[in-house]
Amino acid sequence: MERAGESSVRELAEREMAVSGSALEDAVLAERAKAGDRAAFEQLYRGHAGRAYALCLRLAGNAHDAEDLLQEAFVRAWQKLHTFRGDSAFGTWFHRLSVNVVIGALRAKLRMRPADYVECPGRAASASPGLRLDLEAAIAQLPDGARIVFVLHDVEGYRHPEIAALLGIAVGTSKVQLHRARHALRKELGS
Amino acid sequence: MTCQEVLECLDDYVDGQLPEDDARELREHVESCCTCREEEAAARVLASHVAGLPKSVPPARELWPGIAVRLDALEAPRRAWKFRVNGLALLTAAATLAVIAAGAYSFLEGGAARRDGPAPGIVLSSTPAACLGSDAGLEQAQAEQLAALRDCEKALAPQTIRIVRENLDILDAASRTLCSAIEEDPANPHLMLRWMALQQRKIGMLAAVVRLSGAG
Ligand SMILES: [Zn+2]
Repeated sequence: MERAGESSVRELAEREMAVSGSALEDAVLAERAKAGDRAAFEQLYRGHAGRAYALCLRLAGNAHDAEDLLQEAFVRAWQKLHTFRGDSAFGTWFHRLSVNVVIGALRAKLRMRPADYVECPGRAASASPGLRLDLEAAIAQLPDGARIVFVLHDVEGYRHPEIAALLGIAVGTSKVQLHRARHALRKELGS
Repeated sequence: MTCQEVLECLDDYVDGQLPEDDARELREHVESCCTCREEEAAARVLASHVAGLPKSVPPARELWPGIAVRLDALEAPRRAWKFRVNGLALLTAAATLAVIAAGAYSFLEGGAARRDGPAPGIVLSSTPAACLGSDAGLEQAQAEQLAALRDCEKALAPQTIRIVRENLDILDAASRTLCSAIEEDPANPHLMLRWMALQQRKIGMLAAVVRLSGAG
């Protein structure tokens, strides 16, 4: 049993190495953070804030909410660190947790404003230079439902059944939202 | 396939999710229809731009302090809870502190080497009363501690001495904080118990140092 344990630990280490050179470093930091080491947790924050902020910003559609959500995600991560077993990279675990935090917050918003589902997207800030910024602005301008499905599917690589489960909607609804989002973005960027 | 049907299938087609039969029909339509061809091209352009979006976007302002404050708020009640538990455990410790201290004193006295001058058991002089009475009392207690430590220094590795000194500094800083807290709230039994526990730790550490130097 001991040998099996050892080899699985080595396999895990190798797998994590393959994923990213910093994954092992993250694993060590996460272990330390689990034991209450705030400095180690801050280092994890430094390493993962950018990726998480990109997610929050695109899902929320504005910087103010994104900042709140990012902070909430890290606070939640600190509270749930004991559930991080190291069988995936910390980044993967944290990203999944962030998605849940953001969607949890935005679902309440979606329930409060169902009209967003049929709203037409406003014009993106035309002053923003460069296509990438235009695209980011256009995504931000999408109605909440369409934007969230689009970001999860096209940016984050989630599949419709996963999105449907996350948002508590039908798979068909998820597809319709994606269709609306892409159509609106094509029009926005083509104009 | 009609234009409307193409538009409906376009997402799945671009994602490679459209069944092959439908995909072939779509391609046939697109070859002969300008509008749908443009729509398909736009869909591919959009997909490539989306793929090029940065994975990471640094927040425009420093957000860690806000997180740290919230973690502090989370820790506060937990710490208070731990403290209450410690307080209960320390009721016994408080009652026996004098005994322990006396034991440590005699242990230190009879330790590895008999020494002249202030005994390492000086912690005993650092009672709450001394602490509360004047800084001079505290300073003297510290001076005595350091003198005791110097006596052992020759027998210990510099690394060990450094660690001991660092720990003493930490304990002393904690002691000073507790003293001012006791001054503000003299009736608080928890503070007094903590202060006693702190002295106990000092005694334990000095006893360990003497034991180490004796073995060396
Ligand atoms: Zn057509």
